[in-house]
Amino acid sequence: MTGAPTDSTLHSRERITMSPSTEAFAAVIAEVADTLVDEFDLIDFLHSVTQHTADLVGAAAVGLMLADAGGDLQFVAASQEAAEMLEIFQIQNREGPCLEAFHTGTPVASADLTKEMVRWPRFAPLATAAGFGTVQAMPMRLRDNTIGALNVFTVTERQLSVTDLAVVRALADVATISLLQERAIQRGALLAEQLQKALTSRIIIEQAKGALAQARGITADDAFQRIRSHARRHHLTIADVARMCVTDPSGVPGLMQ
Amino acid sequence: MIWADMAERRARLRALVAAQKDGGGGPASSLLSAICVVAGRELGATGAGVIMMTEAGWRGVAASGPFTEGLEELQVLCGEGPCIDALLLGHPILVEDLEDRVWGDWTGYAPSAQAAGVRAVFAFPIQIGAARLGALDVYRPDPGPLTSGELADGLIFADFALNALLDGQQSAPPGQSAPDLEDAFDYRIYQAQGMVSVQLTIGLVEAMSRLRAYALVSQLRLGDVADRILSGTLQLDGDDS
Repeated sequence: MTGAPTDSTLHSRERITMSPSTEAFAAVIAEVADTLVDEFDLIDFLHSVTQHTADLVGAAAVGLMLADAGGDLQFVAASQEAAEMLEIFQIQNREGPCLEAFHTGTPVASADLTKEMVRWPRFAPLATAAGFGTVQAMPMRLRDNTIGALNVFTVTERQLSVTDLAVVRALADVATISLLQERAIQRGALLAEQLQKALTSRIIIEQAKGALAQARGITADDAFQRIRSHARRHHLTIADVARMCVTDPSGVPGLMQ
Repeated sequence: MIWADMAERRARLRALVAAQKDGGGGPASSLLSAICVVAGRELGATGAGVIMMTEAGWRGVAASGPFTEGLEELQVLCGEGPCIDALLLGHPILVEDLEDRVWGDWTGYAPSAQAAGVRAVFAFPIQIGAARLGALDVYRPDPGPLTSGELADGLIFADFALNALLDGQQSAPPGQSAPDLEDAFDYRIYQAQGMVSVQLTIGLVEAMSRLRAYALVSQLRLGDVADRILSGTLQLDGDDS
């Protein structure tokens, strides 16, 4: 807009473009609406939720963990798929803010991870080594059950504001609701089935990342990006593409070879 | 929180299965039968059975008794039912009442199972991600849901069956079994499984069996073997299993 001579009315009208955060919110709402249709990709959606959360609150990384039937937290989606991130989430089935948020059903935060070495002797060193300074874990609650947690990391200079927290809370709720959308709620035990399915999808994705990384000589992170783009391009779910990578590569032409 | 006591549950059920099997290493099928008997008993059921998906089609491989064997046979014959859905969909199928219209799709299976005196059936997939081995079925005479504790136990029994089936596919030394896949999610293990399946051009089930066999022989944890595969410092070959 530098120095462009404009009519003031036009100028103000031009300003009705959306701010980045409004745009991100609009994208979230549109994607939530998409979860109501049949061919909804739960993993892709949860992955988007983590990316949008990161964008909206200016976080360095966001991850989402769900409880498996054993009550253990398992990693399901993150704004980054790099190995060090996966380790940071994986350790949280033993210790860390996600585990505490999950057990207590209340938000857990640390404004300085370097001071948490005693509280979280395995988690804190991994998180600080990855360059994170603060962490926030928001429980994902459904009625009386806590089913998982959303985990937000920032670098030291960037702490979450009260508004940011409200955004994180809202997105954690959206992620929780999405778990119930895939099939009409026509009978009990649906949540157990959905959780199991989401966690199985995550295992399939890891198997496919390994297979694709091996077949193509690329990193696991790159492998995930290729699986996701293939899914989007061909209107398939990430889990379906991943499954074909490891069981029927001919179903995903050009991806495995 | 739903299932806080999972480790204790697992230990207790493991002891029950071991006692049922009379200790000692038999073939996987007798271990599977023991798992079915204990699962049936612990879940207040008439019985339990395991169906496997093989290249030749579905096959009943273990059951707690002749009654359950017949019900498993019925699913195989009809080519439909909770076990088959559980495996195809990759999540438990919890049929609280077979009379419910929701299950009307099973035109052959549902009426026949009811005629045999079954009103509720719960099927748990036996799988590792995309590697589908089979499913565990639990039959009850009365309608009604599993309690959350029973649901947790059902998933544990399916885990036991998974380990039994994986052990059955490899030549583990007698009396020993490979490390169980019961630890919480470890992405390294699954990535390594995918890598090995491409490296050796084998299926995912065999790839996991090979990883477990290597871990057993070399006295390493499965996650450590996976680490070496991922970093390229270890490559399995034909002589490792």
